[in-house]
Amino acid sequence: MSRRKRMMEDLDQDIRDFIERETQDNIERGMSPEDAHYAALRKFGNVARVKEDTWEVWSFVLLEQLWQDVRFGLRMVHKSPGFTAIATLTLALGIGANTAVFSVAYAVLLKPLPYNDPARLLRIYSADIRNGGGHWMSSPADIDFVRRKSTDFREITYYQEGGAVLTGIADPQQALTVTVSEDFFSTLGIPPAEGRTFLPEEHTPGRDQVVVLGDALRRQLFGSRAAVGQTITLDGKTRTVVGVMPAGFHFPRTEPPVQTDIWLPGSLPIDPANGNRDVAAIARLKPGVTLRQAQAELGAMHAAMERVYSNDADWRLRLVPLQQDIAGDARLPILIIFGAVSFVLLIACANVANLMLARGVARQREMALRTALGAGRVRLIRQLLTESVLLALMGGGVGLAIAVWGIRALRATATTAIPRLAEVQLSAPVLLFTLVSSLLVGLVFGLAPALPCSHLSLRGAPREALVSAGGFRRRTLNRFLLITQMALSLVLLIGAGLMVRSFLLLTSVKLGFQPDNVLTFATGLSGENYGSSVRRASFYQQTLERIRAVPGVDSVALASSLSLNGGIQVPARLDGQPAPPPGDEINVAYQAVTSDYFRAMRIPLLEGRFILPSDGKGAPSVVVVNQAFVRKFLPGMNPLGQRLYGGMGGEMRREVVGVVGDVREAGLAKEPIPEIYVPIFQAWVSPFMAYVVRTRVEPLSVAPSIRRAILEVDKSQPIAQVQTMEQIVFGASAPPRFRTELLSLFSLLALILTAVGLYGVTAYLVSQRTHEIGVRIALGASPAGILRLVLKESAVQIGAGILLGLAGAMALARVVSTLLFTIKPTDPATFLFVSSLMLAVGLLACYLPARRAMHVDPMVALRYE
Amino acid sequence: MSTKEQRERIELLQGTLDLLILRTLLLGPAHGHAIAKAIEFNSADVLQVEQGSLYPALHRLIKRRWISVQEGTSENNRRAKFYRLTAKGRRQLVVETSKWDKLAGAIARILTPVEQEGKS
Repeated sequence: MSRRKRMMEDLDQDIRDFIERETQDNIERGMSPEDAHYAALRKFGNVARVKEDTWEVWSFVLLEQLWQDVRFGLRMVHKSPGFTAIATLTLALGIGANTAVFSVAYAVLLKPLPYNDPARLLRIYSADIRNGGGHWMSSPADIDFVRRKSTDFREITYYQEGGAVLTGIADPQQALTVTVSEDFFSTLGIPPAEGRTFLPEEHTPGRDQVVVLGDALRRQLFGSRAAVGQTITLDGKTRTVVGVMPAGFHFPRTEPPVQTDIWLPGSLPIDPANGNRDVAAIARLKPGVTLRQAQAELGAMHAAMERVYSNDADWRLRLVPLQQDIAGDARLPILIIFGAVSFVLLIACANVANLMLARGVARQREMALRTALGAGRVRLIRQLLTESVLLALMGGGVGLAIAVWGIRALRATATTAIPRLAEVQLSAPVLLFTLVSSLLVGLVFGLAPALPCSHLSLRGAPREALVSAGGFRRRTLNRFLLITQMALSLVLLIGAGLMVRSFLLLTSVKLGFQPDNVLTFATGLSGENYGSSVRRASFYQQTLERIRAVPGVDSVALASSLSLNGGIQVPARLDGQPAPPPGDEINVAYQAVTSDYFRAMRIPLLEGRFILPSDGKGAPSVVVVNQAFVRKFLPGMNPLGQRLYGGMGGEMRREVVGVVGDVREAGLAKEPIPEIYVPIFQAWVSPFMAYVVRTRVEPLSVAPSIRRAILEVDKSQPIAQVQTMEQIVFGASAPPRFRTELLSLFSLLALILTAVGLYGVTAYLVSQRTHEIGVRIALGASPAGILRLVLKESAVQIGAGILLGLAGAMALARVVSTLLFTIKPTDPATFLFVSSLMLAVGLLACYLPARRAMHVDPMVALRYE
Repeated sequence: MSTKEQRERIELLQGTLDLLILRTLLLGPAHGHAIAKAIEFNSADVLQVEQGSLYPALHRLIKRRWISVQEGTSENNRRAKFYRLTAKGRRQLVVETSKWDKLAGAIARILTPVEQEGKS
């Protein structure tokens, strides 16, 4: 710009110079000085024109016009603050919601994992192709075989998660550990921040008393002192810290607050006969090798693996990109919710487009005048588009504020529903998304009204009468937008309706126990002190006694696993039946419990008796079964006195002494399966037990006393996962609750936007027809007739929107089907209810302006002429 | 005013003025008035440079960096803007000249037979 200014000043000087010279020439030719000057001026011509033409040489015409349009647009914005506020807010809601949801989608689905070249990282699963092909962990033998024979992987490694007690510090704590095989750290490609990772020889027994720490734990334990070379006590064993991983590295447990901070070198026994699938495996592809090729290689290797190991022929290794594996089950709900907010944005666009169309009528004269003054069609459209993009950018700006708030709310409510939650933030790619979507939105909702607006001639425009008659294209566009809006919001409402219904069904399932006033926590008894069952049993008995004595405690019991948390399954059969061949056993749920378990959980007794304190070691082996067990194994028989085999720690024949109600052990959505409860001291006494404490007071309030009671028994024994049973129940429904709440919120937003749009357009059309309605009333039409006239037109549109929406919902049914619990995605009740709701809201939105049409005063209406 | 009759003058084709300016400046730097004069003189006053187009053309050439402008002192000790051909402009002159030759040749070939027919 400054260069242009300088050049223009030069030009002034140059022109003066030119004229002086020409005057001089003319004087030399014999003219009088005055004549000479005028002749020179005449010869030069229009100075202003020359300046203007030269100015244009230095200007960027498109940019200048854009700037003109922007300034004009800003003036329009300023001139109609009401319209601007409504349009901006509408768009801000749409763009804000989209930005917030995109930030989640980006963090979970798109953002590269924080490892070196993460695109080539894979998770390896074992799939049992005879039983549905679900993904399970792998056997170390399989992975070791692939590691030796495969040529497609640069690294392949496996790990096993566990827990250990960290002592030798002020407060003993239960810590998550992961035992890793060779190449674990090099597979992920992250070097340690201090020291080193494990040497190959450290993966052998005797040399494995080393540990790599995470940054957070290292800070907690050693502060600013050097960590490498220090020792820590894990499960009573002393280990030397050889390295520290950088802050933020927590693989495989990366979600706060549950994060891996202790890595141990594994010397897992590779036993060909060991078919256990209990390690997780990851691998890194060699450059240039695709997942498909690697999968094919594994397939080709399968035959060889069977010959080497006594492996089940039905198991196959499956590769999944690590990023996809971590996104896991959250992927589909996130995509669905992203689709839902896109619908909301489209509806918002349609609303603003309708507003612009209505305003376009008011601006028809302006446009016609501009056309008459020589503005081309393209130039007019460009001006209107600039205005709409300007509006969209303002909407985007306000939307960003909404998104900031929305992201905070999402992070607070998502809890366990989505992985990588900590990475959900307003990052540069998210901001770019907001900008691009704002621009696109401006073009989308701007283009619709801009096209008809530019088709004007000055001849028609000044005559107001033509405005209402000539609006045919406009009204067609209005109707099209309204029908689309209604269809979109109906699809959303049906989706949300299905989710809500499914969620209500899910949360009203019979748990089989009463979760109120129950505190739970876990212990892990490891180390030298608890090497034997007897030692562990003694610890358990002492702690149970002390906890029972804590004020406010009603009853306390131990269980091998907490309900809803998955549970343990073991093969079982009735006494007298032959043992089925391996692979054909019937699995039942298994709980080893102490005598008060049923009382603490309030699981009802149906027949016989509960487990008693006297059912200890040496007493006859007993078992309590659930109703599902009776239905499956003992139909029509008296279950009491029957004998069965089942349980952990060797085959043992047990007598059924009681039948209790069914409990959902594997999760809210999983029907109870046959289950056996065995007295804990008549079974293998696991080092990992859950305590269940029924309290007479607020459960969490007794937690400190219970912690003290445990420390009185063993001052180095921490407790972990302290939570109420209600929290566990709540947590079990967290992912479906999250998606149901979000989808409901967005569909409600869509409904409100649609209703507002419907109201606005109807009101506008009514006001356009005031004259016509006045004439009708003057000619004797009844108010009811007028109401019918207006409503009939709207009802046709609403009907069309609903039909289109129903068709859309049917088409999209498949998408949500896997997320629904017990109901079909074409659930007639939901479809009917939501359609009726839409119809009611739609008619109400039209009725309000239609009622105004009834009261049009014919005199006022006619006076418009 | 000018010595030639109005109808004998030829309006310059679009773009040819640029070529003529470049050609004129090949002889050395000159100010605006001198350039106009030189073109008129060299074409025996057939080509009339309209000042309305001379300055936009000069600025267009500056923008393309084919010529540069500098402050100078003219023969009678007056400050004036001098336009000077740049190296880039010199190259461009070769290109433009050959383009013009082609164009002129082509037009001549198209027009010549008609003339011959008229003569015979």
